[in-house]
Amino acid sequence: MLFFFTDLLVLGCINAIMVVGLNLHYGYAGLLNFAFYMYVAIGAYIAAVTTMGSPTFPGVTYIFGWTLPWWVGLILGGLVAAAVSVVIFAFTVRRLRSDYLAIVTVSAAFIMLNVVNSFTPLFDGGTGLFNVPPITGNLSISSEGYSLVMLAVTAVILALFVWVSQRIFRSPFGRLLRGIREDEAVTTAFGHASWRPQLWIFVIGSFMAGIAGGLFVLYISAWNPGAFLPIESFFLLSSLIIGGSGNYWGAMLGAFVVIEGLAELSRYSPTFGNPADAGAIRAIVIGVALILVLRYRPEGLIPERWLRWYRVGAGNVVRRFPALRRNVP
Amino acid sequence: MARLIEAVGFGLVTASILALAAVAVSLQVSVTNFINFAYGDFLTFGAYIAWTTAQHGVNIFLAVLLGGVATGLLGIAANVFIFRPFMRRRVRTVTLLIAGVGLSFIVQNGITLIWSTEPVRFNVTLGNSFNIGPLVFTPGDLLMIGAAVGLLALLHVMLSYTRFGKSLRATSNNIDLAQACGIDSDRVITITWFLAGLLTAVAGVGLVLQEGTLDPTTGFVELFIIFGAVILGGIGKPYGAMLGALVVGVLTEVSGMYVNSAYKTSIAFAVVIILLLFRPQGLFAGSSKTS
Amino acid sequence: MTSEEPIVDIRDLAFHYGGVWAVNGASFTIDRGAVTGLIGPNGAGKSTLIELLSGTLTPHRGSILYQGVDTAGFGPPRVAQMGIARTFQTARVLPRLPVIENVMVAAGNQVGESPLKAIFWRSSWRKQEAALREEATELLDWLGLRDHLLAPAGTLSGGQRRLMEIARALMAHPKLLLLDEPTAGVFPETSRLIATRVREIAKQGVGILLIAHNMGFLSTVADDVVVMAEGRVLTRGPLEVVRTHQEVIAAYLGASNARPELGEQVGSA
Repeated sequence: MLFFFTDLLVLGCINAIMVVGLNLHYGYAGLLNFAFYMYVAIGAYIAAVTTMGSPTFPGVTYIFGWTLPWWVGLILGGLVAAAVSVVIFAFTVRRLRSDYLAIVTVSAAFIMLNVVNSFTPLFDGGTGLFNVPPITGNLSISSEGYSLVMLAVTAVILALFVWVSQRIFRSPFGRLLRGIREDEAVTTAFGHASWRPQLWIFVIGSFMAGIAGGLFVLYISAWNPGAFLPIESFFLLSSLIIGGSGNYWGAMLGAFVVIEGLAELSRYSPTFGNPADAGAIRAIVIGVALILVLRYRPEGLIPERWLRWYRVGAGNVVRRFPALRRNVP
Repeated sequence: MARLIEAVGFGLVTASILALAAVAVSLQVSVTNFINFAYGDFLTFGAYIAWTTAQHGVNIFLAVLLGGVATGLLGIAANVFIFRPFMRRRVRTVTLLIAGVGLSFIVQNGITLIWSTEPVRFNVTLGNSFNIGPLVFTPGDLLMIGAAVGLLALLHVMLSYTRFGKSLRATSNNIDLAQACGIDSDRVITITWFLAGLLTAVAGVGLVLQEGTLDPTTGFVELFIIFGAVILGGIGKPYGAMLGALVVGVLTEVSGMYVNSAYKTSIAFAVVIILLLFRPQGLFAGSSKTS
Repeated sequence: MTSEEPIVDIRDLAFHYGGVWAVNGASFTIDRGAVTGLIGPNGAGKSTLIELLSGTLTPHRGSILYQGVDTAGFGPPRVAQMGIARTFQTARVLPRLPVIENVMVAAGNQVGESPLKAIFWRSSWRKQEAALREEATELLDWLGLRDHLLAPAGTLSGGQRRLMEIARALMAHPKLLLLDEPTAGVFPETSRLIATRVREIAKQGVGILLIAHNMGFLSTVADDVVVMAEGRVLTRGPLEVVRTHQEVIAAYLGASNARPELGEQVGSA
């Protein structure tokens, strides 16, 4: 029973890291990316092939195989994902309107899927990678124990990334991103070129995605193209929008409830005989919830909370202008 | 050389299928100004309806027609319950895009629930392949091309000579102006959704006949190739979409000859990306719907 | 009027929109510490001129000598960093952000805008941030918006938005301020407040170029006016003088959207 909960929490944390990263792209900066999961996949693959040894199983082929320590592989995964995102940013983000950007990013995701599937020397094609070494190395440990270890690791990393998000949000950098998001003409007119802050946030968000991917693969010790179908990006985006884009609480809510909660619920619920059906019902629920949220509560379940921060931070303002007190929400 | 011409022949078949779907998308985009991400799943839906009715012994042509009508109704429902309320509130394009994604979840997984993920086949054999000069066709291929040409010709007649066609062109040009002239743009939009659904379903059946099997994801994967054809021809320009489909269809088949066919999809997507990056207004110059 | 060098010297500036010349050989100077009105019938090229000065458009001919440097072709960020700020013809706000954020975003040289410093080195920008918040608050208070500091800018009325735009522009510590119809569609009291404030800003040494159509407002705020028509400068001088100028009257009455009350005022001695 404990395993069920820790498993849930680990996967929830990993998904939360992804959505927190996506929140940086879409919530903070308003950059739409329908292929965010690509960065997760890259992070996973790189972490896997740098921590595994050379291929030993007959018929299995992949690059690298460097047997690096798990945390090095993890960080490498994040860095490579970030590097790829720079390339994509350079080609697309500043040049395309939202619907074209959507098409281009999904097309890129399909290409990645196709290439990885077909070009087996890269990541062993459709069969994928197995036996990725656990972070506990040679220690013999039970699945429950490993879950707990991974839970600790992922929770710490999630907390770190949430802290980074908060710092960004409360800083002039965050304010500038919000300004660009709301009306770029205004921020440009006051001396701020848009591309640099956008590129930075893009890189940071993609790095987080790569780390999430690495953690994922270190946890389940296998990875293949079936794990990063383009639809996954849509699920991430949906959970961010439903949870509340523009803030990390909403992101985490979306991740835990929409992605994890619904998935686990349908997986363990005995009512559904056919497992594929459970997945389908979950997707339908997400689709309906998404449309309802967009229609009736577009800011999401937990809206952007700048007001609260300003109330706290504007203490001295209230002191100076006592008349303000009645207007502070 | 003979192989090349053969590939062109296959390309024509692919192009016919694409043309129907691409024209459908272009029509809908031209009057509503956003791209519906659930279109691929409309394709799948139409194919499944046709398949189910054919399974019950209905004549294949009637089955396709029923599939078309059902998809048309689906399109109308999507408009009435989802897209029109959003458009009335003048939301951002992004919102409509994401709503389309939500709709795609619903349709694709609704299909999965009803029909399961098992791939199915149409039990139709339409004769063996034969040669017309250097080209190789099956009767089914010719039928597909014929159907495409026929339907598009009908569409052309409708657009150019009927009152509805004129209303549609006016609405796509400038919706406010059209409304000011007394055109009921809501009705135009509703009928356009129906027509688009109809065409899409026929394309869906054609796709299944070409690919061989049908499963809930069939249409979604095809969606971006369809977008490629639409963009090539100029978004919102149905006639351009026909030409775009021709180019994409032939190119895909021909390139499959020179490059390992496993990468055929990647090439198609790469073409889409390059188009959008460097020539989003399409290959054919002139005024475009894009802003 | 000051005797220093003008803050900007516009020479033979020209710009066309696809073959139609919006500005065609405009030349004039703007002095520091003075409020220069810019008037003219619709289509005279006034707003285009502001776009050229703010760097949004690149002229097809001519030069803009701002403090001796030709800024023609510099983009808006660079021009803004050099000390030119503007308001927009239709007030542009960042709707979902609080008013105070709207204003603070305009300040230049914010240390905290560098991502790494923002995340890892808060002490480097914390003081500046507090100072900026104080300054923004004072500016907004000065412009009568102190009750709306934390309101989303989208909830402001038209007049309030225009006041906010002025506060925002001032946050950038400009040496040249371009105001595009700052009182269009605004209540008379707000208009008076804006006029008072504009004069006070000029007194600090800021050069101001101000497009307006309301002659009453202009007479209280402008030191002199430049009259444009068909992309060129017709004449320049104090408002009372310019109003009776033959060519100016002809330009206004001859323009397709002649404004009767204007014609009346322009024609009277």
